[in-house]
Amino acid sequence: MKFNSLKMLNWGPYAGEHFVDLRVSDDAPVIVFYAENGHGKTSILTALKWCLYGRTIYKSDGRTSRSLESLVNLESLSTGEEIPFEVTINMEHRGEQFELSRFGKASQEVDGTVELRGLSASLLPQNGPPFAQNDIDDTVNAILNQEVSDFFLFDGEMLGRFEERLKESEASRVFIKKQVERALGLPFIQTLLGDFEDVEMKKNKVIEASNRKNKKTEQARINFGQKSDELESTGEDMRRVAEVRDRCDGEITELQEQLEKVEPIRGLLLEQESTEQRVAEAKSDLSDIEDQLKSLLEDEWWFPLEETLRDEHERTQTEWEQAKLEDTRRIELEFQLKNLANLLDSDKCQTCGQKLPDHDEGHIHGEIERVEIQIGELAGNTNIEQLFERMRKLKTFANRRSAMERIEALEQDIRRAKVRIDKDKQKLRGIQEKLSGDRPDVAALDSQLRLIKSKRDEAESIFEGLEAARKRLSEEVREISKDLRNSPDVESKDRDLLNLAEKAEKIVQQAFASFRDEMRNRVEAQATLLFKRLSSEKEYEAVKIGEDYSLKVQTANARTDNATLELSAGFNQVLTVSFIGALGECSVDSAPLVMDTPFSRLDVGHRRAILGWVSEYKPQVILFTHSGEMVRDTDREHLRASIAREYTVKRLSAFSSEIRKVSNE
Amino acid sequence: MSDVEKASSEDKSQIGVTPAGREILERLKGEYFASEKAAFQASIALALELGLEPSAEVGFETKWGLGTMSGVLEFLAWYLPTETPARAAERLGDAGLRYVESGIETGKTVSEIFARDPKNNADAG
Repeated sequence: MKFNSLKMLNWGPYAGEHFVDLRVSDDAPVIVFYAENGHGKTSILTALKWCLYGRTIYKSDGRTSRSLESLVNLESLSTGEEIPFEVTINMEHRGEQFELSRFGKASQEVDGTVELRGLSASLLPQNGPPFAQNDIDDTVNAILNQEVSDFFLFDGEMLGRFEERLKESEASRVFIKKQVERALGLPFIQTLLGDFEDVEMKKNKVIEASNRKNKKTEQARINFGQKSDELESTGEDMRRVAEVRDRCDGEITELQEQLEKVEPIRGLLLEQESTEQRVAEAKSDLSDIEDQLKSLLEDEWWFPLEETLRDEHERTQTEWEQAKLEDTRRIELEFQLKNLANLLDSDKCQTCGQKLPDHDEGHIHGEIERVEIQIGELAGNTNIEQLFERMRKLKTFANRRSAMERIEALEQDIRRAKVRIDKDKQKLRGIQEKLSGDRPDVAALDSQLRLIKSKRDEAESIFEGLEAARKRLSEEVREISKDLRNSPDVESKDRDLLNLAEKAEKIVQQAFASFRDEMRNRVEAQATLLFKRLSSEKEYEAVKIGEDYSLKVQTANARTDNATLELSAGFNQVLTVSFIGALGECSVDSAPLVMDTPFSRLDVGHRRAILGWVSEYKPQVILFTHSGEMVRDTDREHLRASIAREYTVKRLSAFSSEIRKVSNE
Repeated sequence: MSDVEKASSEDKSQIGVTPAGREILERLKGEYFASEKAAFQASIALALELGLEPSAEVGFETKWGLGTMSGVLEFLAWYLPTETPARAAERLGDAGLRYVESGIETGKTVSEIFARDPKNNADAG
């Protein structure tokens, strides 16, 4: 299937009628729309989805939709008149053309609400009468099943959500299995199995009623009644649990959408948190430094006097040393004096007792006089003990690292800490200004999301348990039914029909299990091909979908990493694209690939690898992109030969945009 | 026998501060010091450093017992030296407090207020 054209009337930001030629050729299958955010890219994707399935944009799993009222052009509505709105797609499927339209009328009430009337659809084949209203949805689903359309018509947000689901190690197994079953066309098979079960149940009841007069089968009838009731009630429980699970899925999608919108706020909140933590740490540091300073001022209270004390200590030490020298000199001189006095009293040598040859009393007197003068010249106030005691006391204050220097160093630390705190406080004020106003409680949303995810997982686990119980009960009912159906009271046609339904159900179940395994292998092979093509890292060799539906990436040395858990963000996106692409390629013959801003987190290498793949994709690729994710002039080179048509979307006013064809000159 | 014990019976048995000094002490404690005692002792040291005249104020109100200030009293007893260290502490402390008062007002740091070089404390009285 491929699109030939799209017509929008008063749709989204497109006031009046807008026609877009979407024809492509095998050589040039790509159509590119360039538009900045908010100019109307997603409205075109929404138009395609609404026209195909009668529902507005599907986010991720198709459960959440934007209201149709919000998609009618506001500028046209502002006239106050009732206006028509419409989306028409001309598409080609297996050589035949179809024109599918959905349309209605809308008006804006005084209070601003939009009223819709006359919603309808038409499907016109090129050759033949229009399809009946009731057949339109089935026909469109036969061309491209709504269940698998997510693999073809997807936006960047959906990519993100797919990736998010793959990251949840526990839940991803169930998710991957579901996607594989989706690609297989599970709803149809499930309906078929349900039909068989209904037939079996009805026939079993007929057979049970036929046995009522048969006393021999009374116990079997009682058992049958009990088990049938149990089976029915288990089925009811399963439906209720499935409802809870599906409701949770819806809520999860809504919460994830809200969280995506508040992603910038989350960044600010994280920054706020880290800044607050830094301020708290700096305050604690500041308090420690202030305590150290106070403790120093308390312990070394003499700090204003310390240099004087140090100088005085040095001076006292010098005095004490000087006094010690003088004292020694005095002792020496006094000894000399004593010797001279003795010499005066004797003319013999005091040492050897020999008579001195030159005993000159005059000379000795002269010497005594000289020594006495020297003693007199020595300072008389040399109290060495007092000096020593003072020096010892001063040493207590002087013999330390300068307190004043330590005080100054601590004061500098305090100043620095205060500057740091002031800076961070200023930053916090800036963040708080940005965060001011009506903002959602991100933490509450996160916590709510965790809670609902856990509830969903619980529901899933209960559902699996019930499914197993139901299977067991179904077997038991079937066994009991065998005793009852062989009774002669049962009509052979009822018996034959029941046997046939049982056999058919078994065959379908076996076939389904086998198809699913085969599909898993095909998706795995296709995903590997795509992943190897898109990934610039040669280390990764294969994508593996295990028997338990776990998704892994195998490296060249046969090591397997849990997919998306250990890969970088860019690789995760490539893996997700590969997985979706593989599901799409395995699910139907062919369908157009419509991608809305898919490159948001990819580096140049991966972006260009995807562009290379896209350029060869058959039958058609419609790519919506903005300047932030694609460099028009350089990235365009990778698509150049494959581009059939290029459009830019220009915003004319708040509620009006225009699609312009880009000249290929 | 410590220097304080040897001190004359002429000395005071407690140490007091003037009402003005008490106010300054409170501010110093709030802003810089862990206790008023620490601020008072630093003020004594500053007065000695700058050679300030001991305060001739009257009206000292009892603030501390001698035991609380034993460290600084022993120091004053041998350093000055004096036989009335408590009285000296009281009067030197008051002189130091009055000197730092203007420094506190201009929002200086401890090292600036209690600087040795009076040039660093130009704003101080």
